[in-house]
Amino acid sequence: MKSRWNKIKRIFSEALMLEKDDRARYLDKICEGDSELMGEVLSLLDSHEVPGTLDQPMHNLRMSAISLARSNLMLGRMIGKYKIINDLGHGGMGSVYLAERADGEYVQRTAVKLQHSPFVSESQVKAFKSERQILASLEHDHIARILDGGLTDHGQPYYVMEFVDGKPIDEYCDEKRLTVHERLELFQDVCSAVQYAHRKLVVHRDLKPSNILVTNEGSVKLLDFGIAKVLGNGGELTGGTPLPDLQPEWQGFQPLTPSYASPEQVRGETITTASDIYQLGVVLYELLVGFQPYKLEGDSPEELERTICDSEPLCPGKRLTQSGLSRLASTSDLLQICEARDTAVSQLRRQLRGDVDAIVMKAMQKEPDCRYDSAEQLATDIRRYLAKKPVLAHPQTKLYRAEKYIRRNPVEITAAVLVFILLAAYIITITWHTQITHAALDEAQREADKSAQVVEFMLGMFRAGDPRVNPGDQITVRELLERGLGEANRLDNQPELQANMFNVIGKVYTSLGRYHDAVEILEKAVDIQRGFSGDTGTETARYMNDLAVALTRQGIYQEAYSLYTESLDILISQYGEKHPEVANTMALMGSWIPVTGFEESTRLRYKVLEIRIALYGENHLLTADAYMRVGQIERSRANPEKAIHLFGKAMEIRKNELGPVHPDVAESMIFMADVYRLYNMDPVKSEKLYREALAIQDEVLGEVHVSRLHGLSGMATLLSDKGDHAAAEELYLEGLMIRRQIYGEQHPSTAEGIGHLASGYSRMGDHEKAEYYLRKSLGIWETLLGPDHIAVSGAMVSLGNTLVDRQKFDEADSLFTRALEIQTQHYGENSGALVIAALGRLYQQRGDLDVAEQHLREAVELFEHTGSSEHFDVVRLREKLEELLVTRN
Amino acid sequence: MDTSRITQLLQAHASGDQNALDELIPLVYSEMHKIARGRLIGERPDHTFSATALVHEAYLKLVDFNRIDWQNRYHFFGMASQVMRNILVDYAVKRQVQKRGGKRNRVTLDEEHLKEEMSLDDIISVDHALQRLEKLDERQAKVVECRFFGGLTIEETANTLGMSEPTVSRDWKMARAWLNRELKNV
Repeated sequence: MKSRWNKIKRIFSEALMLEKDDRARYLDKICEGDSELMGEVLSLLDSHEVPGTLDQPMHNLRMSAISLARSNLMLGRMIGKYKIINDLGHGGMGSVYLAERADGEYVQRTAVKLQHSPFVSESQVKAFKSERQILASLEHDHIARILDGGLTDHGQPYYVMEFVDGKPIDEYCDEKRLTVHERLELFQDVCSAVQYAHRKLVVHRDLKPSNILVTNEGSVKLLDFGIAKVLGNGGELTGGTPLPDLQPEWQGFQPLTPSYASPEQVRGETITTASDIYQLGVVLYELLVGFQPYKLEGDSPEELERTICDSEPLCPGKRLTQSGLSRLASTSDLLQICEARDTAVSQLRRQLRGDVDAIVMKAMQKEPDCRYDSAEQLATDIRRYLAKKPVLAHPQTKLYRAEKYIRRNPVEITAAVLVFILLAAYIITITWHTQITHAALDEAQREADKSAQVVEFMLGMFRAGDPRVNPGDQITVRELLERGLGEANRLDNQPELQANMFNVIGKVYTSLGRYHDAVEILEKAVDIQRGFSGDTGTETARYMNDLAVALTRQGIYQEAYSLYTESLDILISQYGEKHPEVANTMALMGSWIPVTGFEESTRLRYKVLEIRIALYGENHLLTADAYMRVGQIERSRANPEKAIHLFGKAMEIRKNELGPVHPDVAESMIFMADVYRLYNMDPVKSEKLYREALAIQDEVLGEVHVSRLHGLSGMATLLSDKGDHAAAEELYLEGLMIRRQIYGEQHPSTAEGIGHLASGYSRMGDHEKAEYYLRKSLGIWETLLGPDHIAVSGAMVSLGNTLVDRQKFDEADSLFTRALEIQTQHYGENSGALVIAALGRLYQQRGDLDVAEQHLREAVELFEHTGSSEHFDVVRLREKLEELLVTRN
Repeated sequence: MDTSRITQLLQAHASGDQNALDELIPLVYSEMHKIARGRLIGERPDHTFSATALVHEAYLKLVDFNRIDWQNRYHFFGMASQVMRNILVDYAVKRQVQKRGGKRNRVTLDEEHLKEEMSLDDIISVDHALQRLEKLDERQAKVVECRFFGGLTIEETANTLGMSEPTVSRDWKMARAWLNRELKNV
């Protein structure tokens, strides 16, 4: 055995000395046909050539292992007058222990920071002692006090500090789920401590979350002030007075936490207070974003220097976009980050964008001179931001200041806008009636244009889901509307203006989801306008359309339908068929299928397409919109290829007109993805499209995050079909989170989102959870819209279906019956086919196959009767009926 | 650095002079530091700190094992390598147990960033393989202990084990090839 080993060893070493080409010959000769021996040597030679387990770096492992071993050894030992009782942490240069001073009567708990390497020269000791005096003189509420310091018997320097029972600030903030606002407030205390020390000419040098503790009471305490300078890791960075006698091996150490090192620290240049400002910036960045500005793990010192000194980090707002994240983290990280900040993704991005970005990035400037002059200045800017005042960090444009003003005074400013509209309209009225001069008329026209823009602006601001609207602002918006309504009510002597105001306010109510109020006000607008301009006024037609929109939302379809019909008549009689507004009205009318009827809706949508092509040509955004509409028809008609073709056309037009990265392009993609998914045509393509679209929306989220909901739920359904229920659940929840953030709990959209989540649970077979959420959703619908609303019937059917899955047949039965009542009430006798189908399924599950068959047949007949025999619901239903018949035979 | 002084002090300490240790520690420390830094140049640059770590380790052991009869500084290096092996394997085993116990915390997160590094499993397998090598070739196993666990250079290893440098080099090449092959097949 041994001799064999020695033989292998000898041959291996001999072979290694030979050129590779000569080895084979040598081995042939020396092994003398012993193929096993030769194989052994060859495999060792192979192994010699490539890196293996032994060649992997083990730096971190070493460090961790040593820390553990060391702390085990230190327990119970004395350092100075302090007895070590526990281990608080280890760094590359030192360790921190919990220690007690037990002399005489009282026991004081302290933290002892011990440097591993001893001092070797007198001058180091002297510098250490003088520094200790300065540090001991720091007295500030937010700075942990230095109580003592000295050298151990082995010459290791140590500091004894006030023991702070707290958590690193980042952990603290996450645990308490502090919002961005609260984090910024807390951070001001950090700044004030740094400012205090700077005034005493002490630079921290190693600011990082683990050195910034927060006690359970929320009090900030900075640790280790100035210690980095004296204890090794900053020793060579004293700036100006390098310690004499310092041996070369003590120099050249970079700060121990490269993630927080300033460019000048990395380069080994002079350290000033500006370095601390930089580090404050990095800490703030991390607190807000949840990531560090740079990804530095595994970087060599050269790479590290390049990254920190030359590369521009993504600003906080950008970091949380898809592109900023992809390098770093997954969606679940992102969700966790938002959860810890008690906010939604979109909202967090919005909060960080702009001023916060500017503040953080100013603190983190590469050039020390470009940073804030002091920690105080940084704190002041944060305070200004919190008070919604302009910040220093931000480029001072006029628009920016105006925006600030509006944000600071939402109520006053929008009231001012309202007053402005009233005033402008007033001037127009006056000038129209008296016809003073052309000049006045021009002026008025200009004002009118302006006021129209203002109205648009207002509408834009109020439009639900507009990211500029903070949910909290809705209260003020509502107050404002009440006020506006009061103003409008007093305008009896100016009916045209009054109608205009009612119309505007009514539309705002619609977008706030207050359909009942909206209908009431919009009705007034139509009545007044009708009285003013007669039955054929185009303005009346427009107001009718707005009212019809509110009515459909309210679920009053018949009335809405007749309003559309009337308005369409007026518009066609005034403008002829080929007119933008005619097309718009047709589009609105055709978009609500239940009452328009599938056939009529199809006709209208194709008509819209025809008119728009005639008006604008093939390559126009409105034509693209029309393509989208007919695409939806074809999707429902079970013509998936055609639908994809149409959505694709719309997408191409939009890409041409808007560029590839635009939310409308994303919308088209999502519709295509839907079809690929719904018809099980190409799940891979579907997923790809969803992801691409969601990435686009993410990128340009500014205006469109409500549009994300569609893609999110589609993607979620796809994932759950694929069986990836966990990922699906996450997306459903994200969608729901967005809805809750934008609309609050009591809103149709939130109810819808809860319904989606429930359908997800239902698909993954968790019917219990599905039931819970469907009940919740139904509750919201009922509260919002009353017990007889059509949407309530939809929610009842969903819940009923889940109850069938849970074998709660009786309750399901009564829900279906009630839903059927509501639907026939709204749509007439020949409706409710889907409910009847659901009842059919119930009986089938119950085993009552006769009744089941009867119901399914009835449902199919009803569908066919209403002319939607091509609708894919019917197609599915027929399949189900077939299945039932097959099982019965 | 005066290496003969170190040797002198070590000998003094070995013959019962406790004060010698006090003077010795900073010197050894500084020496180790220098050696470690020099050695790590040329390896992956992120080892900068592990040089220090190694020295800390040596220092730690020096403090703790102050009753050990020091032959000379190389004896000390050999000792440090052996100790480092114990510490690392000990650590790896403890962490593995913790992990199986389902204790997940921030530390595990950190580890995910360090995928290119030696894993806990690797350390344990290296130790096991090294035990097999010990049976085949005790001298090679010693060389691995010094080179791999102790992080010593060929020259230091040669001095520590009282071997010639070419022999250490040959042993190391063979042992490395053998171990890497063994570990690859696991």
